[in-house]
Amino acid sequence: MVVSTTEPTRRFLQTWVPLLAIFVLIVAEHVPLGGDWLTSMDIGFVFVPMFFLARYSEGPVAPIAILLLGVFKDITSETPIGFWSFLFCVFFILALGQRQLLYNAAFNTVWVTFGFLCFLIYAVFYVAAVLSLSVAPSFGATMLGALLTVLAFPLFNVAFDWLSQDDHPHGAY
Amino acid sequence: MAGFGARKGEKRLLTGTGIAFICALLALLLLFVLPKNDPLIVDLRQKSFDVLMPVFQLVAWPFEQIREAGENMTELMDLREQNAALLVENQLLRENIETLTRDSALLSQYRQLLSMPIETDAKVIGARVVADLRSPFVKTLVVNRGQADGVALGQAVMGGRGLVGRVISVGARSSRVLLATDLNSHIPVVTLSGNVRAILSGRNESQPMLTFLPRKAEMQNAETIITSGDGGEMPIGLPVGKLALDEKGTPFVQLHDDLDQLVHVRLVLSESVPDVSTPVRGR
Repeated sequence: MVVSTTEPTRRFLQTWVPLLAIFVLIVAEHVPLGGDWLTSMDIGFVFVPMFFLARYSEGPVAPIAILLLGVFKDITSETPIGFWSFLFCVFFILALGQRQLLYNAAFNTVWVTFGFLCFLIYAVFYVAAVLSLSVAPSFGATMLGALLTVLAFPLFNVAFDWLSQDDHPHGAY
Repeated sequence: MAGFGARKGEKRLLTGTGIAFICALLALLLLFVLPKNDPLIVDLRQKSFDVLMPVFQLVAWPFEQIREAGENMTELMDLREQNAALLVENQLLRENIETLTRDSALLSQYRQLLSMPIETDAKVIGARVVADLRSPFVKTLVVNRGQADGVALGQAVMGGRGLVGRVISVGARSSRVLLATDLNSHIPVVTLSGNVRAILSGRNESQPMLTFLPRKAEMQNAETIITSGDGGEMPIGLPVGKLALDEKGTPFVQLHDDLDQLVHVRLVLSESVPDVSTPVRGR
């Protein structure tokens, strides 16, 4: 059972700020910055707000919005429709499963859990790419993308941390 | 188990995890049911870029400012060296202009003798790269020119020095450019001196390779590669790059332009090349 002491405004922000962040990060991925090494891997900064969303959001908005944002990423990154949306939904489900475990958990536990999920979803990404796309990405570059995402977690977490203050989510979603 | 929108004591139809599972199944269904290259999806992507172009520009703005500031600093620091290099380049270009003027006059005479059609000069328009869609799977860009500017499918896209790709979809205000390095890019090319024809094929790596080469093709390292115009989509003679061999001895092309540094590109608004089998009087 979800027990929350969060006021409606904070609850609203806890859902919509991460969703907006995911949207902005999907768009920002396509800013022409130069550097071939950047384009040879997929760095999934979007998974950080998604992880936060899975931990704190309530209501049907989050999973449906995650699906739609996945479709949006499929459109902008030219992957077949359903590819990223499936990965987003799988990550969201996996993160939802950790709500109880992460209740009142120390930052290091949260980070390690995110890291584990991140490497897991990148492994799924690799398998899904091999199965559904004609191009197999480099396994090394895929794992490097996962590592960079995990390393960036503390930076992004600072931004989202204030949204979770005074909140005590736990139990099944 | 808690669900959505229910009050105490109410039975809930679906939990959050349940909805997420349904969404995942729906995504999986989309992945395997929707055809990958359906024209409707291609059109949807293009329309999305038309709509999203201002968003891309807005998000890119701070990054562009930082990059421009960096470039300005570098230019200021290297001003003397650049000036000296430009003076040398200017002298070389003056000499080239003399040679080109002479060659142009000769070419015009040969055309008259052979009754070859005069190819209309291709109109070139500048465009700005608004989104870089390069990933491990695709190598494409979005530029801020579309149908309203005369852009059409298949038109050649040039960087500052040579060919970088071609237009693969056109929207009202934007177009998508398939880079020459993309796995699906195949452009007919020819060597400048040896007249060896081949196909410039992308391989999702930094440089494209040459395929469909004749068996006994004689080519020299660093030979200039230009477009052959075969197929009629691209004009003849657009500079592409220099021939090189990798460690396995496979011929590839070192493109004139660095695809990582493309900020502005030029779209060659060429009309289809006239059929040379039809006799046309030269000027």
